[in-house]
Amino acid sequence: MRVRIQIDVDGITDELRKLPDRGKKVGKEVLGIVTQEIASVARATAPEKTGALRGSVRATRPVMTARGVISAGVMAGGRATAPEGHATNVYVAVQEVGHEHTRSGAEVTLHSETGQAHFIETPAMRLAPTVPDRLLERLAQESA
Amino acid sequence: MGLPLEVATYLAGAGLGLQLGVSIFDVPFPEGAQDNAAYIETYPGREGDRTFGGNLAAPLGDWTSFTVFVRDARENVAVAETLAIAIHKKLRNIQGQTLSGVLYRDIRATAGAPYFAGFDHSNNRPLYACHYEADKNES
Repeated sequence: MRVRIQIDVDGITDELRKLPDRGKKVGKEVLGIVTQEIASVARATAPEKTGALRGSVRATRPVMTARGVISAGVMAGGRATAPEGHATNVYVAVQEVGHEHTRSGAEVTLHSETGQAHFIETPAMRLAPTVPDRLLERLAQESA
Repeated sequence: MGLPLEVATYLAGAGLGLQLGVSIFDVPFPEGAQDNAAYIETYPGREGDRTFGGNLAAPLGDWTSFTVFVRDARENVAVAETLAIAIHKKLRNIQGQTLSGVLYRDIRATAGAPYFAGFDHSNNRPLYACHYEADKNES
């Protein structure tokens, strides 16, 4: 079980296509930096029980899909915490989703009192809107 | 010495009341560090600019991305924000300045001013973050 927040950019791909090679490079470069920024804030605010969750936060390599969408993500849990056992990965998902109670209303004992829920989503929501401007600015630099 | 220590050393001497190793760090907050503190974290940025010449020539420009984190006690949210803004004002003014012997041509905030990032993982202290990119010579 893992949590992944993904940012896809497809609104300004026409601009990127005008500079086929450099546009692709710039797109990956900007998304790569933005996801690193998100991951750094996620690590700093992730709830901590053993430190496994915090240590598993990572940015994935940006890729361009066949449809021309540049995609990059930030992940927590999954293979990185597999040696810690299934409970740790459930903990990862519970913390990111922020569920403090089960559907039946019982308290989930995995709820952490430190850090914050939505530790990936919150910085992603803060930083994702900066992506288009940053892409256009870098494209302008490359075209100059 | 790398960017975190160069910038931390600069900020410690910038009249903000910060002391290297006590209230400003080049690594994530060490265990037992005081509440009112800041640290600098780097991550892979963009590829450095290269010059014509030998393959082994040092890159002309080094683009390093980094984040400054500032925290304080839970009841001191405003103090943390004030320090984050003060640091931001110092960093955004750097242009053509030498920090610990390394030329910094420019430091730019990549996503605007410092913002409230949430609560830290140990004592639920409010945490402010601001992201930057430095255009500098190799450290």
